[in-house]
Amino acid sequence: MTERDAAFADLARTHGALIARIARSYEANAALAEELVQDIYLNVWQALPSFRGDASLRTFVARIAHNRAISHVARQARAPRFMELDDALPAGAASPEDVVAHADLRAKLEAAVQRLPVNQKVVVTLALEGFQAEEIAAVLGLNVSAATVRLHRAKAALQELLKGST
Amino acid sequence: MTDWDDLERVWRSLPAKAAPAADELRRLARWRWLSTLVVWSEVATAIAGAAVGVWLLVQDDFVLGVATLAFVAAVSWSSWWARSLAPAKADDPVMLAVELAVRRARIGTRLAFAILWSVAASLVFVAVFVLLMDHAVPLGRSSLAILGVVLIWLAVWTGGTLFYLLRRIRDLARLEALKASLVQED
Repeated sequence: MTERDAAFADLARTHGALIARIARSYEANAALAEELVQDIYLNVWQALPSFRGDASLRTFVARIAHNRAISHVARQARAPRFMELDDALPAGAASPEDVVAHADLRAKLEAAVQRLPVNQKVVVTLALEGFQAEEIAAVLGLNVSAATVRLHRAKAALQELLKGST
Repeated sequence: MTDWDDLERVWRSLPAKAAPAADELRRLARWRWLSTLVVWSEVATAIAGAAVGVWLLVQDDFVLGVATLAFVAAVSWSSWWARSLAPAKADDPVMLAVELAVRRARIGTRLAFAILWSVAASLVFVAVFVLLMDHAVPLGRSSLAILGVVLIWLAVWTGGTLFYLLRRIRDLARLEALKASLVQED
């Protein structure tokens, strides 16, 4: 295994879930979302040798994931697809009520993020992944104050959508 | 209203199985060859055009030879120029990446129009060439075969360019809408 292979495998382990969730926020169709995930991986693999550590690795991955997802949206001929509410319940949760409440909120959250316009979707997905305003600014290529303003607006828009779906 | 920390927790509990699939990566990488193929077919066309130009000069047909070489040089230079205008990296910041994607789609659209005009000019050029040649010496079977290959090649280029142009026009409209959405808060 080459050094690049090892770095890529490590990156996929650490940031695979981030990539999958970003892909799902743009594409509700499971098969197309999976294709988008692989497209992101391909671009990450190709860009990996140019990674110099100027930003963090997850900023690097998030930039590539959003850039590929936006290209994917631009290529899609049909209207954006939104996720149907998923009735499947996660196993191993505390009580049936908790399970239902968690699954309900999860489905509503994913559907709400998918419905956000792209400018807010980018910011919200990063914030939900735990990115701080400085990191969001680095992913977008904005200054921190502009990113902070966007972050507040995007969070408010998401809360509004969630409120509307209850 | 749900607390943001709760939302973060719920978001990160979303099922996210996303391992890189070697087969799928290979399949996607194969598509990258399409753009390489287009570049090589442009190079092949330029070499063939230059060879015809040199052949005409050797045949003492100075005007047609120079015109052919000038035409090939102009088309090749415009293609190279268009490709060099908007280099992008996969990890560019999102705003820059979208800006570059819009620019590339615009350049692609212009390049496709330029190619269509070039094909039209080529057809006129071939027609004049054939008329002049036929006037001097009636065209033989081999000349007609070469003419047929040239016309088929131009038809393939026209079809491919039209397909690309329509796709780029659609891409451009969507990318401009996405760009407008991304910059509307600034």
